[in-house]
Amino acid sequence: MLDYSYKYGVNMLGAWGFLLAALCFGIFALTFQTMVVDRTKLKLSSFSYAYYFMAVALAVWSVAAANGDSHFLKTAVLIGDGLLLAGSVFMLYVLIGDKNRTFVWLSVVLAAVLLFVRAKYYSPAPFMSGGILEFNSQTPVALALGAIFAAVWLPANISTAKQVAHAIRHDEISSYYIYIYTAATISALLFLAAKRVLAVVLSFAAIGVCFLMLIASNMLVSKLGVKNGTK
Amino acid sequence: MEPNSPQPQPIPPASQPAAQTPPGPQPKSNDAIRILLFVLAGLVLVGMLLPRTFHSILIYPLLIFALLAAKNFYDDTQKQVPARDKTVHVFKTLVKVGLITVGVIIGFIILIIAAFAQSGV
Repeated sequence: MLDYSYKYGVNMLGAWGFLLAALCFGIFALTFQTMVVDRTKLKLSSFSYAYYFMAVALAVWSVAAANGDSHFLKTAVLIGDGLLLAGSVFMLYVLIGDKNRTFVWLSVVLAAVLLFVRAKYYSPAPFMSGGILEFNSQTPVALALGAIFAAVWLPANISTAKQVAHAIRHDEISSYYIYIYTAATISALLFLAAKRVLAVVLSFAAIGVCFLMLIASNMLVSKLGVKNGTK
Repeated sequence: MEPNSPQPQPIPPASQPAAQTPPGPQPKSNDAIRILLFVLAGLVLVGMLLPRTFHSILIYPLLIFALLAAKNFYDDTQKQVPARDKTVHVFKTLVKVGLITVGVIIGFIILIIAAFAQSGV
């Protein structure tokens, strides 16, 4: 019984972690779309789509971690990278919007080129270690992913936070949003970089807390939006 | 009776008391207990997943932190705030507690990374 629980508990820690993270991201995206975008009428559907893509990427990695087959792991990491890039394009659209659609289309081409380079020249070499999926990304790949998070996802999150706080006439809480998004980004980077069971568990716990706060923020917007007569 | 006689105007009372705003919902001390239970449940969950050697290192500082966070949350709920701002006030308090929690967790991760890097394991 102990071996059984160990096998499906600790040995599949990465799989459970990715699955729960996927659920967190998915629920956040869903509540943002239904409780924030639909009520405030802000043009932020792209923000939800980006998090949906991220949720699907995490779900794919969860299946790969549970499967453990090396070929499947490589394919899953590549698929996840593609979904991450697609989500990044949507995040870029949040930042740029309708102002410069040419730039958005250029970013689509750039994302396709990056995915091709990743597949052709920096082929994924992930492996399972103690139930944890180690991405084992090459330094240029890790740097590129970090740059995308820092240069696209974080500014888009901050921009969204300011828009939402302004829409519900509580500009003072935008700083709270910014802190949450920053903590979530740091936690996500630690989660992806974690190589030890303890670090995986703790970083997942941090992501969980961040997304609970973000889901609560969506509920807050929903409640205040009703008060302010935005339906 | 004269038809055009002016109708007596009601005289407002000289010292009409200001309209009483309905008191907002009273702070619930149960909230502090709820958050404490929530944090403790999370700690137990995390503790069950951790290797045994880390139980004593992690659980007790986290327990102390949880008690402090619960105390902070309880103090915040005791503050009198207008009813219309109550929702925002609760949200801000929750975010403060949550951010402190995340900060402590990230701190632990950094400590772990530093410890393993130093030992070369």
